[in-house]
Amino acid sequence: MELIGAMVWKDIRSLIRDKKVVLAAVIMVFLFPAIMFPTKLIKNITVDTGLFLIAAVTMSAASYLFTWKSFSYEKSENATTNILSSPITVMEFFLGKSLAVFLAGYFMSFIALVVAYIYLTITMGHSPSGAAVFLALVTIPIWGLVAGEIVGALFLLLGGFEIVRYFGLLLVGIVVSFLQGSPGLPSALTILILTIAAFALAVIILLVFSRVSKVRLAR
Amino acid sequence: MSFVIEINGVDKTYPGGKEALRGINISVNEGEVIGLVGPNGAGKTTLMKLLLGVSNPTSGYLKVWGETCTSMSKKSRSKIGFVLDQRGLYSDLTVEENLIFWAKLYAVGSKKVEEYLKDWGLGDVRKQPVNQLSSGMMQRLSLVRPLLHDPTLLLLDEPTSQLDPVARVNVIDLINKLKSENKTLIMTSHDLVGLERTCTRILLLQKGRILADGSMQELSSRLGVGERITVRYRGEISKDLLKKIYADYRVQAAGANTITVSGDGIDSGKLVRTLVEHGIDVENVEEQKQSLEDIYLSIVQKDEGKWN
Repeated sequence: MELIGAMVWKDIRSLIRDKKVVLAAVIMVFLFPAIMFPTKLIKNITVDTGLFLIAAVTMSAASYLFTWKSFSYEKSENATTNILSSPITVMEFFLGKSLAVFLAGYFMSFIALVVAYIYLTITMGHSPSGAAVFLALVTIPIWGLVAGEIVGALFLLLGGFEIVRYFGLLLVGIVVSFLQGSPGLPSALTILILTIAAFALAVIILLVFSRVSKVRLAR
Repeated sequence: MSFVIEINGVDKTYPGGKEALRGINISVNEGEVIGLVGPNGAGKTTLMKLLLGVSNPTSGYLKVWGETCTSMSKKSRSKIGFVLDQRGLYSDLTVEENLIFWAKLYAVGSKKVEEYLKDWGLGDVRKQPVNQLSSGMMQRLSLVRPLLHDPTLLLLDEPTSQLDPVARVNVIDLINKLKSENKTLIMTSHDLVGLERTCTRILLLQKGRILADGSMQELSSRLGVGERITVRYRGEISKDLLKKIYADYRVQAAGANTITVSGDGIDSGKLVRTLVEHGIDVENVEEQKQSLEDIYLSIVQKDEGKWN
């Protein structure tokens, strides 16, 4: 646990130090809600779907932005070989980085959600439902963790950025097409299944990735 | 007797066919300080990476404390300190944060970080991001890092590069201190004077092969380059006399009024007598023990000759 904690500590510090990343995060947190709600970008929006959309957009954008920063930074500093030569295991290394990205993304998403919650409650006259809040605070962030793991794993295994960029575009594409459909909220059972599935997937990716050798990652 | 490091029949060929190491066999005992010497591209860094288990040999095996390097346990890894040619410092973290991170990785308390910051003259720059440090300071920081957890085996790739002369001497003193604590060290360096002053054994690598392996004395006597004698004279050496000198000695340089010969157990008196008998007025005789640089050049040049 200590080694995972060390990775999280180091990566979050690096993320905070990068002014470009912080600026991008701030823009994402405030820009999307600021554009989406007043311009009625999405039709038939409700308090619940509004909260869901904010969570989906901020978490997927954060996963992509922070994962890119965290994993590419390690490579650009030529630090991967050094870290992998230490007692850290591949699982601890990968989990530490993924958790750092998740926590930073969650923090960013949380601020956006608080802003959106207040805005939606004031403008629409009532608060989002418990299911919507659960979806926004638990289910979507865990899917964000899954997305971060996939982007990070692709980057570590394939090295180059092209494939990761395409994956990021795909991720954004999925969210956008989802928004276009403007779906209503799924049922409580569906939300529960989605949450468990995301968690299971995050664990599976971690277990599969931990089988990759240090030699492969240090290449 | 079990070795700290055992390298047996190791070959390393990179994808694309570049041969980095060929038939490497090395056994290292506890407390040995080994200098890996060789030109750029000789395979020194590759060997370091193989020992750290972040690269695979194409054939053969490498073991540290009896464990195969690529599957070394956490316990063994935590007893190794290393500096790679790629320093791996985080440029936007401060000096202190870099050390705290590595201390956390090796479960070392923050007291130790404080101690090292002070002892290594990094206290004043502790809050500075690494990207604002001079390259000498960066190298100093990258040297502190592997010492934090008091390792018993140190693998140091170019530890003295980019250091100023004072810091270089400090590193040499540090290595001698580690040697006195019976730590095992393997280091690569182009600072041959430094290696000569610290290493108990020298390994000379060239084009991925070990050309020589032994202590300074062993290498110099094996190669017959133990001493160097430079004679300054007045007058002119005849062709016949020069032929005779070339026949009897290994002549390193013959210039206007000086001649330098090298070898093991050369009788300088005999050389002077020969010159005097031929009417040469000898002004000065200088005897020097051969340095690692001489040995290095002698072996590498001989090897180059063999391949060219």
